[in-house]
Amino acid sequence: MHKKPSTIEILFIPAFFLLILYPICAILFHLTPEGIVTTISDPLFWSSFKNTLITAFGAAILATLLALGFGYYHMFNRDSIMYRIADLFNDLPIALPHTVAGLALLLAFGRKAFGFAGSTGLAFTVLAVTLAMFFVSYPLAARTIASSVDEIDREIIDVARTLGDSEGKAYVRIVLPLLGESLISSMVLCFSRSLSEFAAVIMFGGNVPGMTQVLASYVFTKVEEGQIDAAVSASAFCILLSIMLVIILRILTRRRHVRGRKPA
Amino acid sequence: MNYKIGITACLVIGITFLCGCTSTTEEVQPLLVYAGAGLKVPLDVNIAGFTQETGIQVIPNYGPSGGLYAQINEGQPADVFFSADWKFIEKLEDDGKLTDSIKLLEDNIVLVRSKTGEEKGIEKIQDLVKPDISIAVADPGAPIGQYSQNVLDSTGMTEALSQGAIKARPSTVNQVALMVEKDEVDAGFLYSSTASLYNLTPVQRFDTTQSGEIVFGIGIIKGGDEKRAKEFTDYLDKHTDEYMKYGWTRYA
Repeated sequence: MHKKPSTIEILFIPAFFLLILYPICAILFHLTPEGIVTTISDPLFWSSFKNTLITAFGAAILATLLALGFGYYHMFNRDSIMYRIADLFNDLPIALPHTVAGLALLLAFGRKAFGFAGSTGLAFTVLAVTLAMFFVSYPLAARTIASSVDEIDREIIDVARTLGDSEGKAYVRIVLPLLGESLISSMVLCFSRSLSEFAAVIMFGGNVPGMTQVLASYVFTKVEEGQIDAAVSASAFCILLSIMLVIILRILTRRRHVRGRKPA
Repeated sequence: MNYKIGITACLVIGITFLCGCTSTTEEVQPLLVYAGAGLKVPLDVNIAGFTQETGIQVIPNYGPSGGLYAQINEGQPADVFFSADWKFIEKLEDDGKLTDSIKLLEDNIVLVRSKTGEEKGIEKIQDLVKPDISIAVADPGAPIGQYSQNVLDSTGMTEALSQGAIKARPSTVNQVALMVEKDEVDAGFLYSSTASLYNLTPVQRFDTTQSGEIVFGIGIIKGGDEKRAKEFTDYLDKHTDEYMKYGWTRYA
């Protein structure tokens, strides 16, 4: 017996296929063997791939660590001014146009302010690329951690506190282990977000091929150069990488749900 | 029942109002001019002068030339297109979307330096190989990057600078200008007009034989108000002196 599809289903299915799935498939349909060969034989592609992995991973770790600090405030100090400020600024890097983010970082960490750190300050280095990615992906980490903190049973914390644990100790000994996989999903989210960032990375990171170029700015450059075949294959590569990440994220979160279920 | 009458009344009034608006604007339809963002300062002066002389209203729409080209190509109404890159005028011409076009201005690539660059003694392109110099050169994908690359090639500097002096490959000319103006790099390559816009004094100017021809041109769009568009174009052609103040030269 088939149930009659609801109006929502009738609207959702074509809209989803047309607006979400179809554009992604369009990239894959336009792959050409020549484009793939050009791309995989381009050493600059591989160096940008390597840079992307290193910097996005670094950014993911940094963002998650900082988000843990925010999680602490979210758990214990929600009335403090610091928490309110941090909570407000959680959304700002998302709302900010990313060229502005790049400019902000350049002015903040360039050689005018950080000249002691090198001839161009922190700007135009692999570290700068990491910082740019960190800046745009931290809000995602903060939200992920905060929402997992919300799921934790306050009573356990209260028990620990009555048994004499300080807030810091309770956070490290009880909250952190309970966060478990959400730390990983926060990192995967930040990693994926970092993969897609190019505006801030170009402005602050430098975008020099073979040095500070990452996959997203590599693709952007190829499009600008009119090398569409190469751009399409590099994009397909990005899509593949993203899909892999999403699958990893899925497996991890599903495991968490299974584990979270109470035994019958 | 009452609210239905209310809504109908509102609709009728609204539609009448809208119709009224369009019919009045049709009588004095202003000229729609699409222009590269870098042209804003002198072109605004030209537009004010033209309106004063002829009484024709002009509405400018400034943006990146490539983006404006795409809009016109997709059929957005426009009468005149003043492009910062002749390539886009050629493309529209090839597609039969223009009735007329002229090459109006020429720009040059210049070398500019920041305050620190001045202290490090950057006077000409050869100084860029000195130790501990950081420069910004736009990505060769962007037009400015391609012209800059041509200059590096024709002066034989490409090899020497590939050793690491190029610290940044921004994607637009304005980003390069910003980096130099904010003293985050020592030097960079800009259009002469961009340098003037950012109050950066060029230390070296490169001939178009070294960079390739950089032409700013105007196209009159087919199907627009062609007669008055031509009037406007002729006016610009007679008043190019405004652009000389900002680093352009007249196309010879």
